[in-house]
Amino acid sequence: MKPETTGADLLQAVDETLSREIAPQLSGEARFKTLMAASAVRMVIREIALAGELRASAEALARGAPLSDLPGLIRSGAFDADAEFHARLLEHARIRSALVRPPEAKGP
Amino acid sequence: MDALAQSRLAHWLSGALSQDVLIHQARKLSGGAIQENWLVEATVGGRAREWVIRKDAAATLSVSHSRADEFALIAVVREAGVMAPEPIAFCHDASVLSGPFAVMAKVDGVALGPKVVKDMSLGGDREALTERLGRELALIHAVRPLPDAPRPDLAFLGTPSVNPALDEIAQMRATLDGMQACRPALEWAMRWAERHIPPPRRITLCHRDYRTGNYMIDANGLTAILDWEFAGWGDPACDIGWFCARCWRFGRADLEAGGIGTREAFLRGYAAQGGGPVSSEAMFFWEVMAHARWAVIALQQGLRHASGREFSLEHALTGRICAELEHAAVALTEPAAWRRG
Repeated sequence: MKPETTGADLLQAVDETLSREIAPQLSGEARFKTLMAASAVRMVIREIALAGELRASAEALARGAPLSDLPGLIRSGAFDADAEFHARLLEHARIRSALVRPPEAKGP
Repeated sequence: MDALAQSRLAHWLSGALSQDVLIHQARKLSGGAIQENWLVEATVGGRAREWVIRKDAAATLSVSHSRADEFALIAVVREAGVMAPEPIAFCHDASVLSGPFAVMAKVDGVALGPKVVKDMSLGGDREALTERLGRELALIHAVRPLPDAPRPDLAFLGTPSVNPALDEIAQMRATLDGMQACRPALEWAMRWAERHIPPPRRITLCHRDYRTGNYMIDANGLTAILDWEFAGWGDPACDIGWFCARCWRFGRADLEAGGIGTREAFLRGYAAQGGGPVSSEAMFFWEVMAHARWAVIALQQGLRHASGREFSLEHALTGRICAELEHAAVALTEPAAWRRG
């Protein structure tokens, strides 16, 4: 048993309150906005859970250089068809994408 | 709409249509990130009419047309046989409804992407609907610029680009730079695109947001092609790529034409109406571009909230979609998809 609720636990409770208790009592735009708010809360929960992975993948991607240097390098062709860079980029993009939507719920 | 605005609107419409217009109700419709839409119920010369009023929202994307241009464009495509909503009148006088607005005939049906894809009671035979949408697109693409001078009726579209794909990549990069956005995944996709531009085709009018979610259907089939605010001269393959891109299939990845039908049916309709052949390379290119362009638009939408210009949780969440699109675009442009040299 945890000694106290964490921030993530509280957000989980907010999500469940919005999704399961409040939204079913609403309709139309109010319901839509409440479900949207719950979705935003779930996104923050995932952001907290994946913070370590996200940081590690960003560090791996930039390899010590500032991340802000990458757009210019990519545009100049420094990584064209570079399989190793692509693998690091894909992993970083995968984690960022998983923040938006959990993989199991993904559509296309 | 308050009573005073409603009365100003009725007065203006009576003048514009040279008939007595009595407005019974004007209510705001939900949706429309770029514009406000109002449903107006009126009586004109004793006949009940329903119209939609389209007016710019508080903050609009810089690439979208003004309502006046959109109105003129819809008149042109209607003339070309495209099933767009009937344009009724345009008001330039900002004192009527605090800004210019267009009045269009109301079209019945459903446009919401997820519902169109999932609700099989809508749209009639889905392969026939898909083919029909291919035909409609070919009708749009039959509108062409004049060889040496701007078309007077579409002068606001400017001069057609010689290489629309290259220009679009430059525009997307400029947009990212303007936002000071650091998006390596998007940069990768755009760099791939820059290196793999297919030979430009004959420039035509392009809808540039032709996808599931932007046409309306009822139980029998298509009722209207909507949302013309991004239309412009371009490579017609861009509309085909946009329609077929995975990011616009709303959960039905197996149905390559907008989540509603087969790519073959869509292309069959397109060809039957005179649309030119499109190579699989060009289609793939424009599908990658679709992910990149939607990602940039999503970021712009997100910025509307993030900048403090307009509070909107919906816009904030739309901005986040960028990450999903980037992931898809990077997956599509794996090293094997790069040409040598």
